[in-house]
Amino acid sequence: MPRKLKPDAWIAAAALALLVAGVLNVTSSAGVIIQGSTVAFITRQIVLSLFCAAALFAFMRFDVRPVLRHPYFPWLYWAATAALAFLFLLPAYKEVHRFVKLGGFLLQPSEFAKIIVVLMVARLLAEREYREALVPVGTHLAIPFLLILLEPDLGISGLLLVTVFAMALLKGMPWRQVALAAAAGTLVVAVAIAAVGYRMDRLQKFVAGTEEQTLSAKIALGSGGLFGKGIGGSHQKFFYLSKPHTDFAYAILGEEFGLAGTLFILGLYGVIFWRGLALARALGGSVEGYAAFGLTLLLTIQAFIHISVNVNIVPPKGITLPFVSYGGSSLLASTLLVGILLSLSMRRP
Amino acid sequence: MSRRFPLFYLVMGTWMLILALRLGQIQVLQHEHYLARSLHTQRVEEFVRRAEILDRNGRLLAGSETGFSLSVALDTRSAAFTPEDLQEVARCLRLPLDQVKAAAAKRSGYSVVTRKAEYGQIQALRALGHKGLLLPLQHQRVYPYEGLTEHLLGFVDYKEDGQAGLERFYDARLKGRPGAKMILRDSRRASYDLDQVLEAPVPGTPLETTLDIPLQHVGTEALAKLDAVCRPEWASATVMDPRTGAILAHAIWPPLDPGARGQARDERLASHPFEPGSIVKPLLAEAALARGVARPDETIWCGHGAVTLLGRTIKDHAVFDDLTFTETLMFSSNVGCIKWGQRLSGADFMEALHRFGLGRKTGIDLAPESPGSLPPARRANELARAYMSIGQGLSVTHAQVLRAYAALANGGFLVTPHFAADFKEERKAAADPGALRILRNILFQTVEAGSGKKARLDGVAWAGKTGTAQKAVPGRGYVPGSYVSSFVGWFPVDRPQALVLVVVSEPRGVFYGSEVAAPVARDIAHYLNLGGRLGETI
Repeated sequence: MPRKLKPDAWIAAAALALLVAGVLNVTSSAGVIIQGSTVAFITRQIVLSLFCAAALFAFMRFDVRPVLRHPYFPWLYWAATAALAFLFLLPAYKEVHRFVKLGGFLLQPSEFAKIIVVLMVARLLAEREYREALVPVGTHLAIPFLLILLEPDLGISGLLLVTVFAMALLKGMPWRQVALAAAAGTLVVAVAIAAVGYRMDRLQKFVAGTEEQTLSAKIALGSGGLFGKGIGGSHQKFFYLSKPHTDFAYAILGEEFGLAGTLFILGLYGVIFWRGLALARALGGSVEGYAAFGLTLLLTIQAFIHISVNVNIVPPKGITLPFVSYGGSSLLASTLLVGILLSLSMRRP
Repeated sequence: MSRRFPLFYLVMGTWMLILALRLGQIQVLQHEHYLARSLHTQRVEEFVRRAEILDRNGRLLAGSETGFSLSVALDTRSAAFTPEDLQEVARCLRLPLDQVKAAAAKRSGYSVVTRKAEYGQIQALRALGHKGLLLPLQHQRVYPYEGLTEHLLGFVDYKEDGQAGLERFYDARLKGRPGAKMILRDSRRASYDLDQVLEAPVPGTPLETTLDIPLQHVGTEALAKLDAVCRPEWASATVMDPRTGAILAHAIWPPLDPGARGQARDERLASHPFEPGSIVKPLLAEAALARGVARPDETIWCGHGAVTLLGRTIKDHAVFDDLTFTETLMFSSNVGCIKWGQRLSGADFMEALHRFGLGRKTGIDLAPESPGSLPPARRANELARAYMSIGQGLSVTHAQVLRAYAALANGGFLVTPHFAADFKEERKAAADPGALRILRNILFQTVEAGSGKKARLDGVAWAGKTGTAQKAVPGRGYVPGSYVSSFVGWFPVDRPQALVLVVVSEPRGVFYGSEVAAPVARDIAHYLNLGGRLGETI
């Protein structure tokens, strides 16, 4: 039954509010991080945020359903995977294979790849019974997962793993397999941590409560109090937090805007989760339904992990806060993700 | 598929709840705790070194150096002291152990042990190398020409703020502007330098003066000889370039007590006016010549040593009968000068004094400056004018005398006496060139054959005038036997390069300006004339 095209206003509003928070975050932190070219730094983020806001509205008019259902969609998946593999052929940037220099920008392909993998998995799950989907889903997950893990980027690879696992769970994964997968996942994570020195080191410090970054994140949040120190009032950003504009954006916002600010931001991700899942339910067991579900979880789980690290209830793991953290790739990927959600929401049955 | 949706709501909802509770715990319950540990910014001033004061040849007159302060303090907040440490500190400082322990007992970032350590003790403490020992550095103003310049340069306080003399007048310029930067502090640790400069420090601009130290020394030595001659209350000798107003030397006697630098100030030059006596006569002579009421060779009846005006008799210092106009000045006849002075109208008389800058500030770079005093026109009756003709009943500062005589010397321009080499000069025409030509010749003869003879020196063409004024003491009027004697003159007479003013207050025994002041001027001229040093110095 045809109905009037109307996007989900809640998701759109939440995404826009987060974009504003992102500009505030970068404006506040930039002076410390980039010496000399602060204005260029801030300007870049503002211009990019404005572009993203515009892109959101432009993108929702575009019907993504034919793309998702297109027989050549797997080629997009393989292209993304190839891009991830291609990173290892490039010289390492800051000792990791995460970025590709494109013009003046550092692009992080895994930010986009994770979305394409979730969409690919959504296709696989929607087209098959669970039993037949298990192996293709597993392989389609494993290849990019391992590539990202080897970059090394435990944050995004782990996020991808958890999201795809949740999608499989929704499809009807038997509880016996759930237990098995959980055990296997734990093992993989444990190995990934144990294999790399600095991760183990961080974990030990976290357990001992002496981890410098998370301590200062707590100081930032705690000293912010109920209403914070005001825009630009953060002091922890100066050097306690090594990445105030990316991995600890939430703590800095908490210092400047207090509990009021942190709960508001948390609530915005809650809104996206609630409306995203409602959308997935409305779309049912279709490709679009699984896509909406996967993308919603991808965004909110990432946000929740970032916040959990900032409030020090999970070991420190560098991961950006969608829309808020500085970084072009992260911002563009979040925009793409919400753009797809909005596009789907406009055309739900 | 939809059967499992509630599971996700439950998991994510729980997660979100945990996060919210955790945020409440950190941001509300533990707020005080973390606030105390948080960093806060603090603005600190960054010291800039006070700039130097130099003489005209670049000799250092005042400079700032970094040295140890003599205080010793303990940082008991961030460093720990064992009993052995304290014993060592007490031993190095030779202080009772209890005093050191008392300082260590205070919880403070800067607990003072003593403010009077000795240099060797500071060195010994440095050798201990304890990081809680605070041995601050401090800037110190040094004056290499102690005994010659302190009355001019003044002094600075412990913050290096100028308190007197040139140090005060040029304080802002010498000090520059301290910078400011932001540092971070937290309650546990010391500060963190952010390298965040709020205001860049602006260093002070060195003050190059017009002073010439050797000449200053010569002036001081010449004055010192007066002690044996007349034991004056005080005396001063000033040398200025009459073409520009640049002061080359200003020596005083007795010298200031070097131990009492805190009181080091000499305001004679600009702020202590005195009654000038006969040295005012040439200024009025210029007016009489310019107005055409007197000619140099006309004869004036000098009253046989006295003149009576409005019932008051004014005596001369010697008995003169007939003198030419020129001779009234050469021999400084009071009656003669009163006589031709009477030919000037009251307005012309006062105008002449004003024209030469008496009664108003010169603009010299010393503060405070006094304008001296001239009686108002309505009170300047015939008797008052008669007294003013001989330099009594009005008061002038040294700076005003220098300025007026510079105009006589340089062809009639008022210059501003000054010490700073880059002083913005102002020149104003003040006198009649024709009258000045005649007057210069009269003043030349005054030194050659008149009252200024004792300043005469072979090879030096002086033009000068002596003065001997009775000194008025507030409340007591003129005190018998209390004089201010002076000599002021320049050379070479036609191409003036140096103007010398010598003032001797309360000479005893011999007291005439011609006897006590003129010889000092001769000594100065002798030095300047030696081996062509005149051209070299000025």
